[in-house]
Amino acid sequence: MNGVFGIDVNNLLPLFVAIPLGVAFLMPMAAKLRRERLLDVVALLAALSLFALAVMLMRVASGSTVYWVGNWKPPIPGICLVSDGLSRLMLLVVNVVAFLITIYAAEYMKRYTGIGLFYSLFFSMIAGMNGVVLAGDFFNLYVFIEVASLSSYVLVAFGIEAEQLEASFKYLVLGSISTLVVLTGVVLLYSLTGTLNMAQVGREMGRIAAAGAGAKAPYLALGLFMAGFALKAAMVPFHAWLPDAHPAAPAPVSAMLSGVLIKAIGVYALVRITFNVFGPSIGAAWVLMTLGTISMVVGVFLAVGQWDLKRLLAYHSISQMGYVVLAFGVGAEVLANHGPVAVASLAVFGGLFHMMNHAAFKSLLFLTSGAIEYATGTRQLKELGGLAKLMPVTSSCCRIASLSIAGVPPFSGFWSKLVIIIAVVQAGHVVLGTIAVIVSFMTLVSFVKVQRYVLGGEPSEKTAGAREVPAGMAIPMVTLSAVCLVLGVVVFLYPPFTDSVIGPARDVVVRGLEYIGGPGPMGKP
Amino acid sequence: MLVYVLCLALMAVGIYAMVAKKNVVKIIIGLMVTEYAVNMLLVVIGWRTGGVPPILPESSGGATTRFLAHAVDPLAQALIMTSIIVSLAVLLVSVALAIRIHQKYGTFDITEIRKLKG
Amino acid sequence: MKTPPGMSVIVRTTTRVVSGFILIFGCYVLASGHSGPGGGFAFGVIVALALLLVLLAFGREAAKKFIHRRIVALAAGSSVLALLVIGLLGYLGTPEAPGGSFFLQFLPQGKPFQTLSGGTALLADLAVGVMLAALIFGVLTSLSLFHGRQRPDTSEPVEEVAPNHVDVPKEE
Repeated sequence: MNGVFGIDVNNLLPLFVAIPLGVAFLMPMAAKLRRERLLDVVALLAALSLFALAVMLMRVASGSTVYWVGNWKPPIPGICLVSDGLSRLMLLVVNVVAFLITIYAAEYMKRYTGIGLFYSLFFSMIAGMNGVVLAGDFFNLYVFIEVASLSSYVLVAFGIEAEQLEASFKYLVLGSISTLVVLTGVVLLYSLTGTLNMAQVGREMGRIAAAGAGAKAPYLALGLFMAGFALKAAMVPFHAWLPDAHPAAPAPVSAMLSGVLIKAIGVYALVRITFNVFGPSIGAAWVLMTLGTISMVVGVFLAVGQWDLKRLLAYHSISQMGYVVLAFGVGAEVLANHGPVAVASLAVFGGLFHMMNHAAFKSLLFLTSGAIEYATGTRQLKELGGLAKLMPVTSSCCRIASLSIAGVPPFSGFWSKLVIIIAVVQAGHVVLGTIAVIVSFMTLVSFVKVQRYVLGGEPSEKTAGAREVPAGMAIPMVTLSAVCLVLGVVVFLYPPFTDSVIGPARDVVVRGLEYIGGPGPMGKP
Repeated sequence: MLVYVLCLALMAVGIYAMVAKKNVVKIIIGLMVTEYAVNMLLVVIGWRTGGVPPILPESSGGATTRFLAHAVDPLAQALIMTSIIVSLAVLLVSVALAIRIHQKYGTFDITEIRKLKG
Repeated sequence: MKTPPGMSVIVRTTTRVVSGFILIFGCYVLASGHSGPGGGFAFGVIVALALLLVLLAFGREAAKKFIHRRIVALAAGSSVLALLVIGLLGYLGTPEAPGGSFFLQFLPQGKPFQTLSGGTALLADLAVGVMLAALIFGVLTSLSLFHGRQRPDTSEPVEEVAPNHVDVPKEE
């Protein structure tokens, strides 16, 4: 049932980490051969194989599988990789976006030297993200978060200009603090439960909650985890690193960071810990909802006043991640109150769907801003103009992505925001739903401004000589805009796709890790 | 009990250094102190009173149960090993960044490294 | 008479004698890793420290000639690749576990406490240790070479690099 060509697909789970790590270690040595084409080909082949593996896993595998590394099964404390619906969805998103961005990077990074080192760091970031998504125990989670984060710190500083170094240092200090907070949480959980395996910790949590009414230590661990992962997911007030780090990075790296990194190591980890390990509780749900709402509002209000294109996009990332976290928070609250499961399912579905959409349109936005910078050399809104005529492919992709993020039908963003707002209102939070609608409107205002200054009007002096970008950069942008156009409609009009791709992920979040037989309830206090 | 409080105090010292100091090198030192404090917390949590190091002595010839009743937790120490290597990597990256920052800005003072605004 | 770079005569003579012994001690720590304290991480750090002793005692130029940068980079890259290959070889499987597994111990494990009883543990330790040694030595050598190119008497930033250009040190 899980096999393809006779190979059990679940045996190939370590390859998601092994292939990009192998490429990452191979690149610095291969770079000495001084054949840039060879490096590009190797990188593209590796990204393609990851993409194929992710799609194959999605189509073939079902249910939850645990893969014990080295065949060290319990009771020996072994390292396990877990493939369940949520992991498979995240793997699909990460690897598809990574493949498209690798194609883009092969063309864009020709303006930089040291491309072997770039690929090395890029692929170790992908390896880290794949590892986080597959991790079945806490220490694996911590190590892979660090791998991905370290690679991203260095990638942000890749161009070695003064601002990039400053942004990277700020990002490094804040990111390391958050990882240390997470590690403290892991240490605390280990001392409470004596095990590091997520499923076993979940079971122990249930026992601790049922036994003693005054058990406060798990709440401390949960609080530490939330603080650490909220920083990685760029929630306000932990967002200070993002507006500096994301614009400073080269364009493919920005697209990777905003498009998948804050989801894979931020939101995914937050959801996994809150729903599956600790079980949805009222306190956690309210924290998530508050963080989500504040991030939505602050992100969009700070974004409207920006005049630097990439900084504006970075603030919008904060805002959209606020949407996702709000959706998950509402789902957690409904589950904790033992409300109708259908409403919780809808909220979780909205959150997951918006994550997928955001990966598509935010990476597309950063790729187009990179293309604009490639062609004109600037990214200040006041210096751009008239690109609609000069760069038709880029500007239509930019338009599609802007309409998608602003929530205009029939683009994908509209559908996912609609689901989130409906779920929030059905759960009884009409005020939050109204705030979500207002934020969506402000997003539209902000992107109308972008459209007017960047694409409309007459060409300014900086953009006069702009030509269309090469095919290597255009193909990924066109593909992603096709995804933005089509994904929303497909999800709603073609149920088999939804049921096989997003359905299992939603079930995992709502019903808990199947292989421990249900959520580990921290319960209502 | 006191040992745990001391670990947390060490973490607080490290975080104070990261927050209040203006020199980039001191911030890096604060980061390292915080990392070591978390590692020390791990050591302390794995401790068992009157415990022996978790290395199976040759004389026991492979019998583990009586030994395990005395030994300090080995899993915690494996975790510390990994965590130390990770913090080594963070240290190397941050020092390299600090050197480059000094090249570009000419100073280690973070109040003057402020080209990014908004 | 111009004094050679590095430290004094006493340190240099001691280093000539002692660094070899430190390396041998590192190898002993590696070999007894699976039956006593030690293992790959300690091996890597000890070897790195032995090489670092040479760097400190004899100065930068001698360290560049002692182990060429290419060998250090090659050692770092290939040892990690070797670790991955060991992991992937686990897919071959053993009679008890057909179909294999990532990082399965596929080498025969002898009696405990013998030197060769660790299965793949010894090989993995070696790979990790060589990588760690190459990493620490390589990074610290490149950082010290970096420092040497800066003009010590001015406080201006040294190189104005054009944007969109990665400044990779020319000696890599």
